[in-house]
Order: sequence, then structure tokens, then C-alpha cells
Amino acid sequence: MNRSSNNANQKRALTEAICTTMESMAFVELSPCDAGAVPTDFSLAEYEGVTIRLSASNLLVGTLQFLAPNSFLNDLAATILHADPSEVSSEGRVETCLELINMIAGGFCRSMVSSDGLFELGLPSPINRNAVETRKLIDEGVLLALDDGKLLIACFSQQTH
Amino acid sequence: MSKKILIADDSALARAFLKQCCNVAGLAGSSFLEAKDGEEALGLIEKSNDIDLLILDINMPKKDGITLLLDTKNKGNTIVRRTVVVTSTKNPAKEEMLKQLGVVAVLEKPLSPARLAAALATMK
Repeated sequence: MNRSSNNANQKRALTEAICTTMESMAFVELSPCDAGAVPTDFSLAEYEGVTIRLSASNLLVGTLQFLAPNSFLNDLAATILHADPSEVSSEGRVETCLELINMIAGGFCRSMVSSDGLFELGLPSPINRNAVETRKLIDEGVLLALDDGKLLIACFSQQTH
Repeated sequence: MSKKILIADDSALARAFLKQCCNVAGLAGSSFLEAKDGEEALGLIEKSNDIDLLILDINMPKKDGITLLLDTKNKGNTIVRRTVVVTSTKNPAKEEMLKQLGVVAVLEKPLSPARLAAALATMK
């Protein structure tokens, strides 16, 4: 399998994993978004981001990044914790993001390995948004739009041997 | 009859969601204990006389879910009646190993109340 079809398979699997997770946890449907439609001055200032390391049957090893808008994370956390969205703290948003990436990474790995394949996930952790190369993330990642047009962004970086 | 349920997951959000799943799945009225890692879960198990259901995550800091199961097995656990694992890392080999450790069901995250209800149908 060549590199471009491998990347396409990874993006398809990642998209499915995000959609499944969001349907189950947030009851939202997502629309694919093209990187070209994202404004050049797009900012992650109102986003939280997390990362997780994963390895599957020694063939798929790398790091997944996931970023979601604060407003979405506030609403989701508030629904599950029976709180008001305005009461959700930054820590609450990050914790929500950490749990989401855990589920997304699991779904992604299950799609990418054979039915009896093994995979392991590390413990997810927050990322420093200031260290994120926003345009690279937009151009290389999976972009899915929420009802309000804000984006869920995920990007898998495969480790090369 | 009311059940005593211990939910062990490092995410407070996941614990809240699992509690909601239990309530919707027919376990409303149960008393819930929560642990944020395997060590805390082991402490709660050792302090309890009887836990009807342990809902256990695998990937947790300090002590992961598999180590917790091995510890309780080595100590001749008779406190936890049933264990259901809810994890993002379900695969056939891991499921087989977990069942050998006494786990009655291994469920994928994200969980739905219907899947939890189906797995727990025999314990109501």
C-alpha cells in the first residue's frame, strides 16, 4: 500500500472514530470540512487540545492530537455533569477533551488493525496550544464541522522507523 | 434491590457518564462509589464488605485495571461479585485474558446504556 492510500485510510478511520464518539457522547452529527475553507487567520485561542500516544501491532505507531472548541466542551461537560455550561472550568474542558481522545484513539486503532490485532494507548495529556503549528494541523488533519461551524480537529502523526 | 457499584476510571467525566448509563440501564437507586485510579479502587474494595458490580477502566494512572484485577485475585477476592471492564482498548486477546481474571463482560468506549443493560441482564 502506498503512502497516500495509507494516509487516506488513516483519515477515513479517524473520521469514523470521531463521528462515532460524538454521536454517542454528544448526540451531534458532524460535516466534513475542507482545509481550503478554513480562513488563513484561523486561531486556536478558543480551543482546548490534547494528545495521546498509540501503537498497534507494531505497524501503526504514533501520536494523535485532538482539538475542540471551548463552547462545545463546555456544553458536553455540562450535560454529563449536570452543570451550567458557564460553570465548566478550563480543567473541566481539558478533562472532557482527554476522555474524548481516549475514545477516538480506541476507535481509530480498531479500524486500523485486523480483527485480532493488538493495540495499546498511552495516557492522554494536554498540549500547549502555543506550540501547535496551526496551519500544518489544518492542512494535514481531519476537520469536522459542528452545527455552529466551529471545528473539531484531529491529526495522526505516524512515527517512522 | 439496590446494588452497590464501584466505578473506577481516571476521568471524572467518564465516571459521571457511566453512572448515567447505570441509571438508564435499570440500576437507578444503586449506591455508587468512585475511584480515580486502581490504587484508590483497591482501597475501597478492601474497606467494603460487598460490591455488587465493579465497572473498571483499564488505562489508569498509578495502578491500571489489569493490575488491580491481578491484585484482587491474588488476595482471594470475594468482595467484588461481578466486574465489567469498559475500555477504549478492547481487542480479542485482551478480552480473553480479562475473562480469565473473572471479568463478565468487556465493553468498548463510548458505552451506551443499551450495551451496559445487555451485559448486566443476568444480574438484575
